[in-house]
Amino acid sequence: MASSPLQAAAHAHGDHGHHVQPLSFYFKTGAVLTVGMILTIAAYKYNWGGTYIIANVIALTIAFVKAGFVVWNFMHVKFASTLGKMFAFLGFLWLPVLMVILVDYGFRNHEQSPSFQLNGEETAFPRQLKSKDHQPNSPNSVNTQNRTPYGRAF
Amino acid sequence: MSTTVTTPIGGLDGSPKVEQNYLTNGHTLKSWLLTTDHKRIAILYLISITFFFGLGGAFAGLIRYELIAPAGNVLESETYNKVFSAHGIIMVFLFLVAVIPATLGNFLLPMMIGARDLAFPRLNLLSWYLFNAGGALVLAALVNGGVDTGWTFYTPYSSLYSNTNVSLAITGIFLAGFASITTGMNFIVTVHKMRAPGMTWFRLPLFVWANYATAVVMILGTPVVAITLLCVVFERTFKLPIFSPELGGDPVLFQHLFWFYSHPAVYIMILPAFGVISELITNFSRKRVFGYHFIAFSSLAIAFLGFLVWGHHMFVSSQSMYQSIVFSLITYLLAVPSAIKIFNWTATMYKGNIRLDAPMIYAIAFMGLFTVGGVTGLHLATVSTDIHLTATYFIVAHFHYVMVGGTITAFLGGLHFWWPKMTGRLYNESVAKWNAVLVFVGFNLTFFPQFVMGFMGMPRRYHYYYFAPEFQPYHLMSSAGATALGLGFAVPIFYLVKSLFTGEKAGANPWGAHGLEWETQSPPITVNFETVPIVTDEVYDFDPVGEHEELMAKLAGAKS
Amino acid sequence: MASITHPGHGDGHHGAHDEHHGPGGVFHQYIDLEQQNDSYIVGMWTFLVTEVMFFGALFLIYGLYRYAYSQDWFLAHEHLDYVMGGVNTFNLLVSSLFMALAVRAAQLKDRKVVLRLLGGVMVCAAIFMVIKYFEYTGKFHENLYPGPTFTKNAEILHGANLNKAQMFFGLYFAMTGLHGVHVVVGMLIIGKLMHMWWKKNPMVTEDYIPTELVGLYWHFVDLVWIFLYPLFYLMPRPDALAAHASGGGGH
Repeated sequence: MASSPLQAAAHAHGDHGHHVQPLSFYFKTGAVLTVGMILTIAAYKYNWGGTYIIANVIALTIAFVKAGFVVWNFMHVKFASTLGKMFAFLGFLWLPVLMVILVDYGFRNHEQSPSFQLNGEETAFPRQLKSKDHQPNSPNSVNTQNRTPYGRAF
Repeated sequence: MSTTVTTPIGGLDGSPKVEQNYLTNGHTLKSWLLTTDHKRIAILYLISITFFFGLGGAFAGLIRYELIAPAGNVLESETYNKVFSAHGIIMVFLFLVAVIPATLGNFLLPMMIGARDLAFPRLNLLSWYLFNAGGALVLAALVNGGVDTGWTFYTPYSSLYSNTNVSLAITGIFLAGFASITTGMNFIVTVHKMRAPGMTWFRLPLFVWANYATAVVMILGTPVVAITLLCVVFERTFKLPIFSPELGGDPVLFQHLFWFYSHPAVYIMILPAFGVISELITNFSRKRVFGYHFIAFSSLAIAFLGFLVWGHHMFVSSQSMYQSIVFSLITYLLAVPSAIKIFNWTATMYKGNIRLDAPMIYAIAFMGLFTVGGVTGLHLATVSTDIHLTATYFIVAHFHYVMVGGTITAFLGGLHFWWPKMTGRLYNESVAKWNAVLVFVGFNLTFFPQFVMGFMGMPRRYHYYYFAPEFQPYHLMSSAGATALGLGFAVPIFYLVKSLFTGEKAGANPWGAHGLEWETQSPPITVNFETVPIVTDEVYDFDPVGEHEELMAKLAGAKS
Repeated sequence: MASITHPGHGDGHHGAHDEHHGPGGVFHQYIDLEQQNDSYIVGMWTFLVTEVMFFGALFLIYGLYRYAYSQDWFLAHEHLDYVMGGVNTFNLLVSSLFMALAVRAAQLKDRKVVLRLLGGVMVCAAIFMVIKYFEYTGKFHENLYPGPTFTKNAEILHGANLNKAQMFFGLYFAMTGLHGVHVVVGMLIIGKLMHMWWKKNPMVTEDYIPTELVGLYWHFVDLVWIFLYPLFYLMPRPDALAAHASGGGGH
């Protein structure tokens, strides 16, 4: 094919579909990202009436969509080779594997194992067999007691 | 390789080739320290790694000397903690993680796929500098009073209570981690983009497959431990509460994140060893490797599954017991691809023309030792037995069987196998053979008694055992074995270095081995191949029948 | 295939200096520019994979503690100014757009436009760091950084558990701080790239890939902020607190 690298460079664009995109392609993407940002703030300001999970889900969904637009359009993964796409998504596909760590904390709530019960309010993720009046996410855990955060001197 | 065409197709100039190899191409210190040649960087790495291995080995010697007597010989409790921490930190982060990929891998990977160099040579050099900078920081931490947390840096001890140089050591490990990441990036891109024409994926030597799988683990796992350890430094330095239980943090989260890397790190250590053994067994059995695809894909399977078993280090760490059960089951699953490799190597040896040269003795030793290490791993993967065996010498013996019996044996075997290629000289084969046997015997003498006393209840990380003097015979055996093992590791340094000066010149292919790296001269020229090789068939195209007939004809000729 | 017709031009004579470039900016280990450019793109993505895992672990820590301490963290997050964060978000977004356009201009070999757009990216990055500086100093002023002095003005946290509020600010500083380090590194790299364009270095003017690689890095920096902004600045009021909301706050 190419007899000199410079000629190869001239071919390289055509070979990989790195056609120069029209300006509107980038401006449209930028507009989508801006709208996404405004929507996120709007969802934050809107009163969802005590179901804050909705607001969380909306904020994260928009964040993922925005991330998708950045990766796909700005980072040119749309035009990348299969290999490029593979490595572009490898990290994002592998993060859920890391997130499996969280499963442990979900399981702990169902554990009937008093022998592993740690005591004290500072236990980050208490087992369920804790006394009944303590619920980890109740308003009681927001206390106004001014406890010293450092029990001992550093 | 009989199938490789190296016909020059229109070289840039017709001038005769200068007889110059990568070792003679530049003699100044600068030409070594600023080199971007993957072979020179491999040699530089070999020197660094030998140094850290010696240092880590010296700490191991101190441990074994201390434990000869039930009341301890020389070390204070605190010093002992620092000594075994130093042994672990140096051996894991500065030796085992880098040893095969950075030396043999760096040297051979581009040659095996027919490339002139790795994809990013300057990044490769940076890797060596990062590694040494990391090593220097760890050394500074040791000289400055040591670290007493063990190599695992468990919080909250490492983050809040330890008054030793934890931050300095962690910064060193952080840098060494980036050395590992850059090596991994380099390998991945090189294997994907730099293969010679005709070198398809299923013609790749198994060593390349193994290193590719390793590289994937490196780039996916190492950043996680880097940030986790960085969080410990943040916690110590800026009091950022991340793992502090007294502020509501969860110290077990550190263990989760730490083992998310550090279990796959075990595969960073052992996968390249698998690659080396695949090459050794095939060559010295003079036979096509049995089940090429299975060995290749089992490397990838190990790399993948290796990420899903970290919880088996945490059975007693207040992890949810349901999660422990799941991790236990996945760990059993992981034994399958490892066993596939062992079975395939055994099948490769079956009816092969086995030559018992030193590398092959190491390879056979590897198979035995790794099998013992792997099978005892299943005892530890079972939740019920693990609770009995956790933090005993059983676990120490188990991972030394895998790490020392596995990785170091494979490294020594590989180093002997490719030494003529790296240096162009032959070492003293008979000394090397006896030394291989010495390593095998010394190793078993050191670590087998540890299985027994661990099962009987000797806890790890204790610097005395006056409460249970009945363990002394085992400790004595272990220390005697460690002496033999230390000798076995020291002797190669002498005869290998001696071979540099007085060794017989090795031809391009002293073993009659197959593979692109044996097609070029020894030591190779800087650009590896004079022309780009074109590959037309797989690597392991041995002809056992032909070789046997040739040998018989030779013997018949000698008789008459 | 191109590789067969263009064999090695090495002959073992590569000294310390002439090893870098063959003809046309191709490094000696590559067959041609196409192979080199493909390698660079894949190599950059493997690096970004490590970055994803690097920040991913921090996001995991964040997610776990936010789930466990949502109320205390909500009260703590009210001390972050979402307008400042929003301005910074828009700012990074614009810089990302500039960067994408700069890569496009590099494809067209339009040196002037590239330099202008990269300058725009630098200005955005600088504004980002200035706003961050004011945010950080504000927090320091209020003693809202982890450490023994955190308890000094506990009353401004509206009763949030101080330990958990400390965790919030600890992670805030750790994550936005690491992101800030990435912005600064990005500014250095973009500065170097601009210098190369300024000097008409053929490595960048003849081939848009170096500009594209810097762009990939910069877009990744933007990407991290896309998640950091809603997670730290835009925390919805937890249900348990909604009942006895004392006015003010995020709604």
